[in-house]
Amino acid sequence: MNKPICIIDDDDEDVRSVMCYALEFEDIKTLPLENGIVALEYLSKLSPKDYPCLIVVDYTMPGMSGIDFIKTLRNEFPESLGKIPIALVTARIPDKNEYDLENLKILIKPIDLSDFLNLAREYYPSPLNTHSSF
Amino acid sequence: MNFIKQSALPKEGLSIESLMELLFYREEFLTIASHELKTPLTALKLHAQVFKRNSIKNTVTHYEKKQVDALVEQMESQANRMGKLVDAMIDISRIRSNQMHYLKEPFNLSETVNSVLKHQFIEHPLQQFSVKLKENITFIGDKKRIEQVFSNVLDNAVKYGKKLPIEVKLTQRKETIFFSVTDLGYGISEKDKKRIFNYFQRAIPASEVSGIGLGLFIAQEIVQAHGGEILVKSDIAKGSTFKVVLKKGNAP
Repeated sequence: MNKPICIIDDDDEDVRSVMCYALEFEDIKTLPLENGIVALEYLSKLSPKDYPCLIVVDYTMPGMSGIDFIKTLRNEFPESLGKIPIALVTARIPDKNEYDLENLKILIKPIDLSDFLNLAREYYPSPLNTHSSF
Repeated sequence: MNFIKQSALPKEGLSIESLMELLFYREEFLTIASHELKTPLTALKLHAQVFKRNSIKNTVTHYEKKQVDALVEQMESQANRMGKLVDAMIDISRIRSNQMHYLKEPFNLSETVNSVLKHQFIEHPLQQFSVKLKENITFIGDKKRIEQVFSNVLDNAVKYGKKLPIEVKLTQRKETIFFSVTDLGYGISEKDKKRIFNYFQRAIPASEVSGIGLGLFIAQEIVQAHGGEILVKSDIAKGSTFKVVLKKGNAP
């Protein structure tokens, strides 16, 4: 059984819901969470078998930015949650120093559906066709 | 009757420093504007692509009507959002280049608040509002722009109010009118309080802008042009109160 892909995006409910919809349509399980603070709390209570296989998080969120979420997650849980691969969704191409974090993919807005699905399939392979691409 | 807001920008004799500053702000504005537009654009594009993909993958000739309707509805709403953002950017551009013109006519402010609230009830049917409005308060100014002020302040409360009840009050004490909106949401730090209003008056790097929105900056401009002010009271994680203060005698 595949672990879900977690989507954290508060800035726009529609983006979060359409990203989940797009994944669910490909039979990929999703875990939507509305912002960094809620996500940290929720994820910290999970047992490792329930961890998401990938976290997709938006950069611009009120309260806690995407980068702050990533840094906090990796500082507080370096051996567990901190090891989960993360994709950061952002409106601009990042500076090398700002985003010098390992195991971090970047998705530039507006996201292309094929890019998004190809990334998802890297971590959530299709049960029937592991070489499918979009 | 029109009145034009007095601006701090002189038409002649700008120093090189001031010009450089204006250019900097223009650049910042473009960066922030494109950033703000990318969010609804992201949703719109994804919707269209999902729709297209649905269509390609579907081996049956008819679609699940409910799904299609929902998708199309959301696309329209995103397009409207972008339209509003573009309008807000045009307003900001006008404000900064002193091109904002305000009408001056008497109108029923209470009715204006009522109509803005009705719109909020429709837009956000699950949002709880508790409302205390004094009836028949008259005011002289630009009705559409004042309506925009109320709308922007309310939109903000809904966005950051964590879906908890919002309290709206319209009162008058002698010649002063108070419109206050209280939410129980995230609250605003001291640093952010200034940032929210002084959107382009401070050198805020575009990277620090976290989608705060242009609405409050515009609202403040409009209120100040009418001789009033917007006050903010807030505690982090407890909520905020935005109070629009207008003086009946102050419409220039």
